[in-house]
Amino acid sequence: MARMKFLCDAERCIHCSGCVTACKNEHEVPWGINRRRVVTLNDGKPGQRSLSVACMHCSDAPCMAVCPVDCFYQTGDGIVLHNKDLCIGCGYCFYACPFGAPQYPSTGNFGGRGKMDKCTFCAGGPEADHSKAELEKYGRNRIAEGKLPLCAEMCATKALLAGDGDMVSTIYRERVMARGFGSGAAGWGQAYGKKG
Amino acid sequence: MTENNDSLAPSPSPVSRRDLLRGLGVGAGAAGVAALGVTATKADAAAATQSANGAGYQETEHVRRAYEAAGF
Repeated sequence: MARMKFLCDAERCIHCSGCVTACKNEHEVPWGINRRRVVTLNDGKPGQRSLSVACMHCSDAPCMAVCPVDCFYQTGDGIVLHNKDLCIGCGYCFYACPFGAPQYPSTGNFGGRGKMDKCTFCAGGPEADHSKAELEKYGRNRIAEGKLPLCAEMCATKALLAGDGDMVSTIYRERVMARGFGSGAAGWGQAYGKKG
Repeated sequence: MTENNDSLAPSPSPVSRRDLLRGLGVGAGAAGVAALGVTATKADAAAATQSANGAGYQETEHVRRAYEAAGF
C-alpha cells in the first residue's frame, strides 16, 4: 500500500510561491487561508533556505489525536482528511500541528472561527468523489482523477515532491547521489551534526 | 452505649464486599469489550468511507510521467 508524502528539496526551492498560487487557484481557497506557504529560514544570512510547507499528512497525526469531535480520518493511502460537517472550529488542531497547517476563515466578529481548512493532498473529503459538495468544501480531488497534488506537479524546479513515499525517497536519494553532498533538508545539519 | 454501637453497626448485606468488587471487575471488563466494539465500528466506518470514496491513489500514466519529470 502506497503511503502519500510531501518532501520539499530546500536546495531547489526558489521561493517562487508557484505551489501556493496553484493550490489556492485549484481549490478556490477562501480569502485569508493558504493551505500551502513558503517559509524562509535564515533570511538574509548565509545558508538561507526556502521551504514549501503544508499539511505533512503525519502517520501519527497530532491533529487527529487532539480533535474533540474526532473529525479527522486517514485514508488507506495515509492522507489525513477531515470532515467539515463535524468540525466545531475549536482550534485544537491548530495548536497541536507543528506545521501550522490547519487554517480558519475569517468569518466575523468576536474572533469566531469557521470550519477548519487544510491541505487535502488534493484528495477531497468524505463526500462522494467529484461531487459538488466535495468541490465546495474541500476543493478538487486530483487523487481520484489519477493525478498528484497540483502544487508538486506545478513546481518549476521540482523542489516539491509528492506521491508514494517510496518513489519520493527514491527520487530524492538519486538527487543527493548526483549532487555528491548532503540532502540540504532543513534540520539535516542539526540531526547529523554537519552542514549541507 | 452498647445499644448505640449496635445501632451504628452496618446491617448484614446480602452482597459481600468481595462479591461487589468482583462484580465491578466483570462490569469493567464488559465495558472494555463494548468500547472495543465501538472502536471497531468506527474503524469499519472509516474503511467504508474510504472504499465508498473511490480507489484512492493509483499509479496512472499521468503519475508515472510526473515522477519521471521530478527525477531530472
